[in-house]
Amino acid sequence: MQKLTERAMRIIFLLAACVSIICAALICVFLFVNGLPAIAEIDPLKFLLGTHWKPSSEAFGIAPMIVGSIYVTAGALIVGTPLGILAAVYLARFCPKRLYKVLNPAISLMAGIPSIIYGFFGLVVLVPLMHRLFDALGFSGSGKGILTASILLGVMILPTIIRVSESAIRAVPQSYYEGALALGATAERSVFFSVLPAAKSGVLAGVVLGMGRAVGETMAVVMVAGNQAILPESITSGVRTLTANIVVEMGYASGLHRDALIATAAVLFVFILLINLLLSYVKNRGGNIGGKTLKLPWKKKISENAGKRLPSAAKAKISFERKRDVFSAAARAAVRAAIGITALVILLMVGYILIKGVPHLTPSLFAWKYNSDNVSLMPALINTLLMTAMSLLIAVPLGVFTAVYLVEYAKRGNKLVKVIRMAAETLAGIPSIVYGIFGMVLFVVALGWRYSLLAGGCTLAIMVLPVIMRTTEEALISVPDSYREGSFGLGAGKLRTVFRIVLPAAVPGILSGIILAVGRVVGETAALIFTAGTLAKIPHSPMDSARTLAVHMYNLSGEGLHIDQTYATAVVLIALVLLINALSSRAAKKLTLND
Amino acid sequence: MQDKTPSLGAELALDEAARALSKFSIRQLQLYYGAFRALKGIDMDISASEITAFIGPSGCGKSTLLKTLNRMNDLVEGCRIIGKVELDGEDIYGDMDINLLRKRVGMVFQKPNPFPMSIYDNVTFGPRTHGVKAKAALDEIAEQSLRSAAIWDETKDRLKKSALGLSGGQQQRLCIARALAIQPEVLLMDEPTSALDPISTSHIEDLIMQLKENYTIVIVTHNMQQAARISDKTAFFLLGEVIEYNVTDTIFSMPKEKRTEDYITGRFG
Repeated sequence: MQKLTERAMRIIFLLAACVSIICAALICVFLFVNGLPAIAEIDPLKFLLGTHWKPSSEAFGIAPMIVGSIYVTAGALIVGTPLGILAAVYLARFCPKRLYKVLNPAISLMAGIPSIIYGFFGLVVLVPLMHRLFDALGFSGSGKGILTASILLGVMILPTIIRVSESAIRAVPQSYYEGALALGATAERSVFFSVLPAAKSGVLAGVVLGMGRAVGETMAVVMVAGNQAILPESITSGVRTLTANIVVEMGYASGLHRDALIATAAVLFVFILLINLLLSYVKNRGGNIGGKTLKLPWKKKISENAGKRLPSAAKAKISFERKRDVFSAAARAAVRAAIGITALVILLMVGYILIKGVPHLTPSLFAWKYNSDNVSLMPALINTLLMTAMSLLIAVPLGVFTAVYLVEYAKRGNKLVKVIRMAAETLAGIPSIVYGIFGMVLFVVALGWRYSLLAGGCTLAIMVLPVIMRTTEEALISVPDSYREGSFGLGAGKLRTVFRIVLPAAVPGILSGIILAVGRVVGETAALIFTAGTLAKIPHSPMDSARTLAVHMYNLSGEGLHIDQTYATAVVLIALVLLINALSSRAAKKLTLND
Repeated sequence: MQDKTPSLGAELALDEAARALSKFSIRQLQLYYGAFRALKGIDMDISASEITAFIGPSGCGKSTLLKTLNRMNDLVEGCRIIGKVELDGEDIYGDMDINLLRKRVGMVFQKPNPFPMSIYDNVTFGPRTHGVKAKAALDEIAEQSLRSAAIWDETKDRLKKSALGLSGGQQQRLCIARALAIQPEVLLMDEPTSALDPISTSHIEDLIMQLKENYTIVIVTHNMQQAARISDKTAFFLLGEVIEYNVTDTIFSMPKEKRTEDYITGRFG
């Protein structure tokens, strides 16, 4: 009996793991099965290189969108990379502890704020500002365009770059820093010439991750880029990205037009795959630096001159005078400026929204029913909870069981493990709009679920699956083997060991993954518009359409009739993000206490 | 051992007699980790209600042999076993249920490994695993086990507190209590005091001597004084082989093998 349960559960864990791969495979298959025939029908060259996108006259050239995505991503990197790296240097090496206690949650907030809020802020603050600036400088343009989108995206990818770079810099052994100090280098020189180069691969990985986020960003870009499907003439002119192309037209597309949009998503997917490849290249190369690739060309010379004094010519070059070190002063100013700008941006944005929104948090906004006179956010708030519950209900068991299979059951070097990890990494990089059209075609159309809570929940479940899987996997790996040995040594079976000993010990880690997933569900817009729809009512069944808070905000800001209420909705969303972040830092604290 | 060659019949008769008396009888046991042969044909009988100590330098196979006795080596990937290990005449690598085997052959590990839960839950984890559900029964088992492991007085007022709050020595005694709670016949101890201070070590040693009356104990130790102090029989291991296995006093006073003498007098190892 007991053996039977053991075997049955083993199969269940394996099945969960397989479902995870199937999801990844399904998305790829779906994109290419629908997209490739369309590309063939349009003619691959005309599709990729054609500069005319006029669905009404059957012209489907996505070159303007490809160029648009590249421009905007490059722009975002130009804005975000130096700021992000310098800010990370400050946080990792120069930040006083008390200030860190303020800045750290601020960066988390920045990372957690939904892109719809960034977009809205861009629309109401950045666009008019740029418009006025362009006017003053004698450029044409509405304020929407490459430059505006680049700045906004640059800010949005800041937290990604900062977080990854910061942990890379912190991982550099203190001895590198001390070694440089001992040679008489200033603190700044030590950090920039000894610590930072050692963290290079990690910092680069952060930049590449930021790049992935910029390419995949949809809602914020749609609101500030202008969306003209033509090749841009200057950095002030409007532009449409690949993601924007999908989200702007998917709602009414059919036939070849629809398939051309799916083909657009396939192209986007290829971009993401390339970025993933770049990422794994960057990471792998980092592994080699300390080891075999390091060459010592001066090795021979050292032995020849070993023990001798330096020639007097060399000595003369080394100055022992005390000089003003321009570099150090400039470096210190630069890192301070970077963190200052970052903090200012987050303060401005959150402050602006709070000031504009809090006065409109009226009781009527929380009325039970939504109508066009009183745009109550209550139904959307409840729908957000329902949507979160539904997607977690699917994703948590799947993700946790997959991780259990990978860590507790699969043998080392198992091929399936490698495939699942790769699948998870691929899934994690896919932009949410791609999940959106995948969910639309599969759940909404093919399975006939229409726009519904269920279709939205399933789509989001696939989207957060890799997050839950990876965090659970890490948590399980960090459970000491001595717990497992102790349990087996008492005659407990595998299943009992997993459920009574290993999983409970991993709870804080799993919890932090779930909280991350909740954050993504709450902030998601692009994946929901075409799967859960935008009906602002509390659903009677899972088959009813349900608009979540983020979608609600997107609709309000699109209609433009209830700007005050839009601000108020943004305030509620930010409050949710703060709540989620607080929970997650509590989980993290528990995690470190357990160690 | 191989140099004495009695007649085949006599050897078999001896073998049978030894087997009847012993708790474990190990015959021609070879163990491979991948291609590496960690145990090279072990023959040994371990008597009931005695303390048997395994000594030898690091990597000699003493811990490996200990772990084959309750099949903890099954957890190691690429581990292969040839030969026979019998517990009361039953082949443990045959048809026996592995979890029941581990219930009969308890284990205490090198480093104390209490689970991250309360002291009470630690002690009752085993009994619960093997189907004890009644609160009263669990309470009784918990108290008895903690008393047998000489840690009751220190823990009776904090049974619901986390086991991780105990000192290292207390944790190890808790682990012994936890092993006793499933009422095993044999207790395997893998260097149970190597992570402890001298005072805690002497507590544990006293405890082991008391436990001997009711349990068969096999202990791996790096500490030769410990083996000499507490064990009845001692086996000296070198490079995956048993060099000498005899009554402890004999091993330490007049070892037959030069290599044993070299080791116990500290010339290598």
